[in-house]
Amino acid sequence: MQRNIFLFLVALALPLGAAEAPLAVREVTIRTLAAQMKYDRVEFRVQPGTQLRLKLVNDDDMPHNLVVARPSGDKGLALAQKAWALGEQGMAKQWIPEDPRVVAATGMVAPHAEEVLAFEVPREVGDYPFVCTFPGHAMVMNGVMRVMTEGPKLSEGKFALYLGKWGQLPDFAQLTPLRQGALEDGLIGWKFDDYRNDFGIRFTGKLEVKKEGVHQFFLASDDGTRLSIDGKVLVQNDGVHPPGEYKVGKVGLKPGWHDFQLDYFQGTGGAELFLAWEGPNFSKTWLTRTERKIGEVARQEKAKGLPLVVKDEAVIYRNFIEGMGARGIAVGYPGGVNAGFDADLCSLSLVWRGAFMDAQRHWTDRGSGYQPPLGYGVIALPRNVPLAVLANAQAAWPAMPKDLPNGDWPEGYRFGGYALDKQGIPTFRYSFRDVAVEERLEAAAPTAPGSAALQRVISLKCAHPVEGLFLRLAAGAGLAAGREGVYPLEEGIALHAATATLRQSADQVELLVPIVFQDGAARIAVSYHWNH
Amino acid sequence: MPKPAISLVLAALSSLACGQDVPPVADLAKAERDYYPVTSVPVPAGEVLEVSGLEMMPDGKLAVATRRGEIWMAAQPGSDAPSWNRWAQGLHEPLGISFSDGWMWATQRPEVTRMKDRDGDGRADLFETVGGRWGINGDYHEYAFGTRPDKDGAIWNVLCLTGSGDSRSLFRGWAVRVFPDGRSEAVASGIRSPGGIGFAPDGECFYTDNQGPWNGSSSLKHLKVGSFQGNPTGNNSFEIAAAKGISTGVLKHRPETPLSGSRIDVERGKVAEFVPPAVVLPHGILGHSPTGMCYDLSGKFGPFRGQMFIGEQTFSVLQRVFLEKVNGVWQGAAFQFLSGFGSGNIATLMTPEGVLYTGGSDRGWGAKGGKPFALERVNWNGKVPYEIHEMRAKPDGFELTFTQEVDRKTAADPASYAASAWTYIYQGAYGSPEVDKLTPTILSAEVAGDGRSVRLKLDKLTKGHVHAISAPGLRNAAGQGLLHATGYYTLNEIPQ
Repeated sequence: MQRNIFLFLVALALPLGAAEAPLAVREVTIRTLAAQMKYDRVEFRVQPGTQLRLKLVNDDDMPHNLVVARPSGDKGLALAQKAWALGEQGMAKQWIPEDPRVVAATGMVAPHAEEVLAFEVPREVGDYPFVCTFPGHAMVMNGVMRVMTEGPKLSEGKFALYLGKWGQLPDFAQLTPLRQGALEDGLIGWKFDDYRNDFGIRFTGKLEVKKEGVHQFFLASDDGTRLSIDGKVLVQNDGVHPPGEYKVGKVGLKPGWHDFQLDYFQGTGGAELFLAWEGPNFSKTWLTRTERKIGEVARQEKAKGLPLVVKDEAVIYRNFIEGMGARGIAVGYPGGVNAGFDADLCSLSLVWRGAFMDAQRHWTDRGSGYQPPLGYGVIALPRNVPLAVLANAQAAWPAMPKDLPNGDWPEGYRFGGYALDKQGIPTFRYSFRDVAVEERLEAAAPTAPGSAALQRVISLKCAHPVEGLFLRLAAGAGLAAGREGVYPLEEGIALHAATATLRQSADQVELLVPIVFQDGAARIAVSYHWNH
Repeated sequence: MPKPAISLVLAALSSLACGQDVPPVADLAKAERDYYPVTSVPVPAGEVLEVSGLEMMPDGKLAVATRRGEIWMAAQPGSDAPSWNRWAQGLHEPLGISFSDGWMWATQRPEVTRMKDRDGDGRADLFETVGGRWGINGDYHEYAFGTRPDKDGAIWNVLCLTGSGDSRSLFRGWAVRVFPDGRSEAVASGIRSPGGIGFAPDGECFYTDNQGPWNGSSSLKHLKVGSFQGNPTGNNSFEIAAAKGISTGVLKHRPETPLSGSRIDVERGKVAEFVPPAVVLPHGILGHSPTGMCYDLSGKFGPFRGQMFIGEQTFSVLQRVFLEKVNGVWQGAAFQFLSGFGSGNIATLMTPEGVLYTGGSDRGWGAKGGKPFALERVNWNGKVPYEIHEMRAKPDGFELTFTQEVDRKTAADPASYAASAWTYIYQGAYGSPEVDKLTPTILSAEVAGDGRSVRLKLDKLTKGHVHAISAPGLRNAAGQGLLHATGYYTLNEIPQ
């Protein structure tokens, strides 16, 4: 697997998607503790104006609500007492009093049910209590939403990636980086593939200080780190170790720009990096992409995720996957490429490279919702059926079947499952009208160092020729041919399809392959290529 | 302020412990193991086996499906060191596996699947989609539990509602059977949140449904073809299906919507298709979350041949159920059976040799056992526990049979027994307290000639109520009390 290690490390510090301002949207989950009449957290911090999705999960055997109130200094007790005064009307009013102090409130949430409260956090900073207003609960069932502004992130963030086997931080100045570049959105981090050992990164940039005073840095890492501000070492946590408790460094800083440098190396095993800073005029602000509640181990565990590792055999993950319907089947192939096959549509829907899937969402707690691919270079293919019989070359592709999971297969289609070869690689089977279709993907040899490729072979069989049958490979407004048979899908990602032709259809361009049967069979081979 | 559910639990447990010789709850698990030792089955190191399905293979291996979508095979599962291999991975939370006609069948969230190991290398290499185009939308609650194939080869599936009490996808809250040719057929509506499904020895299908909206308590329900099971939430699928031209099979019309706040016994008189819960598993007393069931057909599992054993996730126990048909309706009694399992039991399996396997996980809801997952084996050691064997409804009371000869003196004394009766509010709100409580008087206790049964006459029987008959004062010949002194009988019908 040496080849793959090399490929991965080149890809290691690739930009993590388009740079965009982080949306001020946050999800906070508060659970009730069974038979304790308490929330599981008594405090959370949030920025003013955040679009907050506050989920109350009621793990208790009695109903509870959650009311966020204006700052009061009494933990919301007076407001709760007003609710209790509702008496017989209380239940009908969900125990929510009509009162300007109420910022937001859930209804009474039944035992083992949950409710999401979506609201905009007030613009005024302060301590906003939250409380259960069901009679008798408020004294112990309360907490506080701390509304504070955050500080700036890293500016002009850059990284330099080095390969090497170390037990202590090396002197990166003496080494030649394998790759360097900008941290596009200013957040320190990287994305893993399955090969995650023996590398180091130097992160550099500038931090802006607006108010003079003591600034604190909170650093935890696995393995070693060294943080320097203005060229002076502030926090050192060298050697091979788990992230452990935060190391805290304090420094007085004057207004203006300050040089930032963070050296990090990874030996073997776990690899994590958490860094936040806090100033006199702003709350703890994460400089790393990964966040871990300071002093809380459970959240650290959660931050690790449950990545599914692909080694010598393909791994299948059948679950709710973002970019597919509820009958998604993700496949991680040996060689660092992945695909998502949507069994509702009988259609290949996603291809990506790098890491496969994180199962944490579905394999911890109750497991709701859709999980995006863990890797990068994700290409979403047209969300529609792959084959259609067209009356003529200008005929429109059939519309996406509506409300698909709620009924039968798309017209003419039937998903049949898959067969595995010795390497666990699936061949998907489905039928379209009288045509039996098999579809197999696998990693193809990379054409250049750092590149990756996924080959896709579609085999069709039919007892009689089918006129006007087409396979649609891609669709989009800007779709165009590069050199012959090569169609760029996104920057650095291309589809190779020798027998395909482009056509303009309504407001988009489609890439179709006419299916020509010979002796009752047809075979189409295409491939997806990631240049870096 | 409504009484919290936890206090109901404590009240119920303390009422069970009122007899002198009834062991305290903490010691109960130990006492039970004098007859039914429980052994933890070692699982492969480092693996998370959240057991969600169990099957005994023809070669004696135990197949174990997991919530994480794997199927493992344990060779010599009855030994101290079974050897394991992973037979399949990548399934979507299979809740029910079975081996039949050379195929491993599974109900996974999106479909019914059958699998085969064609090259015999110990790993499945063919995964065929059989059918099951029910609605599914990514909600955690949309579980699908399935049976083994019935006599027609069809697998019956119960489909949990969306969330706790919503139906946003086709056939959520329905039972649907899927035939080997892929055809689907609706069987019943009115389901809330199943925890297990299986066939009785006579071929009738039963499933467990969890306390919540329209379920005042969890219960065991008879999945009669064409029935309405009591929760109207999923009946919107009648309209969804009609709009899409999808058949609802024998369920021709949407049932009348029952009145919230009423009682099941009242509403089932108005809703023609309504089949009442066969056996209520009183919430907070016997458990919180019933799951999969199995039967002893061999008689090698002790004195309870033909009876049903039901797993329970929250309480980490097994319950025992006796069923009878009265006036054409299934009903019967539930008993505590075996407590102190390691995690939340989800799947149960009885082997032809009378060995019971059970396992599960506590993920998402918690379980008293405390472990995140467990797989355990129950063997009967040949000693017969002193238990109520059967509990039958009579026109004026109940007939209890026992696993041992009773002490005639205590058995003939009405003061050895206590009766209580209650029902639940049948409502769209979550759960229900015990309501309409009654304390029937035991008028007489007549011991049969063979000393193995007692005929109890009560001053009043209440149709629709759970009748708890306790016998704390009853002794056997050796002067011992019952291991579990209470039976909970659901009196849907009073025999004539």
